[in-house]
Amino acid sequence: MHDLNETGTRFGKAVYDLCALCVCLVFLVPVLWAILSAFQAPGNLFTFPPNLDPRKLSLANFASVFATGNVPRYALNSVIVATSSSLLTVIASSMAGFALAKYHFLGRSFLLLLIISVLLIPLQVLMVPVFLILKTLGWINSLVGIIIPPAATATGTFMMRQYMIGIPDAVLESARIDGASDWKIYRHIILPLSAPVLGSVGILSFTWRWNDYLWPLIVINNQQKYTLQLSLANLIGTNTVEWGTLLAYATLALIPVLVVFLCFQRYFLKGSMSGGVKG
Amino acid sequence: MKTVSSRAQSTFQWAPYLFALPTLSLIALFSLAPMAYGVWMSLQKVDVTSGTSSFIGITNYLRLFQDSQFGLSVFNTAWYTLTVVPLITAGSIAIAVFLRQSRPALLMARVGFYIPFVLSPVVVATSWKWLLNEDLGVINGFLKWAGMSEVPWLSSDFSARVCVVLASVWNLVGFYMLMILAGLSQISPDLYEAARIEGANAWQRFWKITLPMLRPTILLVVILATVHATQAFETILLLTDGGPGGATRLVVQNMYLAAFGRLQPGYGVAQAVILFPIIMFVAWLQLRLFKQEGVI
Repeated sequence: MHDLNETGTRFGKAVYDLCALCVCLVFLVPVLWAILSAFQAPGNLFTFPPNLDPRKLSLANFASVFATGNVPRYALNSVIVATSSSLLTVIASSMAGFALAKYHFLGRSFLLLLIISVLLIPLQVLMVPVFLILKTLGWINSLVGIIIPPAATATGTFMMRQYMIGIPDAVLESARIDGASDWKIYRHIILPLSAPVLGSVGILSFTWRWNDYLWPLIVINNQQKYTLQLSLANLIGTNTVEWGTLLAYATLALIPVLVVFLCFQRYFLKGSMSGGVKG
Repeated sequence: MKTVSSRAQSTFQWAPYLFALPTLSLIALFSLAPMAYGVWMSLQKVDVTSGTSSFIGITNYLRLFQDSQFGLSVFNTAWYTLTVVPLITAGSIAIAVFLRQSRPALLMARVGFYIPFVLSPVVVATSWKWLLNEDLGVINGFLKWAGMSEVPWLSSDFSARVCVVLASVWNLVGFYMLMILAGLSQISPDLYEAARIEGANAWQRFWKITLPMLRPTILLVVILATVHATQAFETILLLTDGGPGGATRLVVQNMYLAAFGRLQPGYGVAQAVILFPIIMFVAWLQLRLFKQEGVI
């Protein structure tokens, strides 16, 4: 099937492309439908056939989102968590990636194996013990408790290592001969040369942390500390679901990630290919 | 590989250890220690209110065999895994093969298929709940409009199971599509050229060249999807809350309920630990594969 369309005419290719895009559009119906519904005026939400007239759309649902709680506060919490956690990830994984890519040291293979095995430890085994560790540290009900634990990701460390292996050793050797310390080499040579992969890891982990639901669910129960995802999830749980509000809220929560994804899709698509797993 | 340290191989270096330290300590504190702690906890009876615990050996494990709730959740996890994994594998191969050419429209379609993967579990669950809502959802709205009977999507056992599987496949298939695309790009075009000269049609080329050459990638997809499936939790929790009547409650949610709902953390962790050998077996397979592929 590789070349079903390779040898075809230009018309054949255009038809093929159009079909592919149509299938893709149908595939996306669940989320597109939710977004469209979020913009329906409250009176038009439940009608069938649905209203597809753009002049009858409204922003009323979005206004009512802000009545459900301190939404700007939750958004700020989400921004703080996603930004600081992904920053930590970039720093920690670039340092570890550098060590694994450019040094021969005792225990190097063991360290790699250790990082891989972390990917495979089932989350369910960790859930309770991590909760208790966070409790001991006094990080329950605090944003630190959702920022620090997921900051070391195996995927990030791997991406860094794979990229840094490609940096020529000659550059590092000459810096060393000029008397640069290991830290200077990392800070002034490795980091600038690794800008693309720093970007990839940063963007990927930003979206992971933005989307996180499990850790906030376990760690946070003070409303002032809610993230957007957590407060939205709590809204789903209430008995009297106000669908218009809920969908508008979901739309607001997905917009930042969607925008970041569409702007930087190259980084995502490459990163996922080399990294393998979400982390 | 020549490295920074190759010049002074005989002298011991602290630098690599210091560079690895932040990652290492995070892993130790939030992955390794909790795992050991978890295994220890599964042998304890923990009293949450007083914070004390006493050693009870394998009692928690023995209890599992008489717990019909746990049995049901194991059955559900098996059902979920055995449907999600083949669907994801077949789906990602099909999509990747059809979007293989790098024309602008097809690249756009790739981005589109990947979109569900960047959505949060909360957003995925909200969208699907809205779509499938019994009274107000658009699918039942259509069925009613077309004169057919409505389907209780999320409130009857079988259809709830099917919907949970569909939502999971929808959520993840784009990610695995990318892995298959990466695998496809490794196949030499010469093979197809030769096959065409021999007169093989597109169908034959798919079965005789594409699939065999993709084998390592497909194996990786199967293993990763299996690991994912045994850990699935958030989306299902929000979509059905394990219902109706526990039909979509997988082991992870079962242990979550035992630990955080009924406050029996030792018993909860035991449920996770007993599944560990199975997951370790998959992990072992995965490590072997990584070694073959030269990742390590």
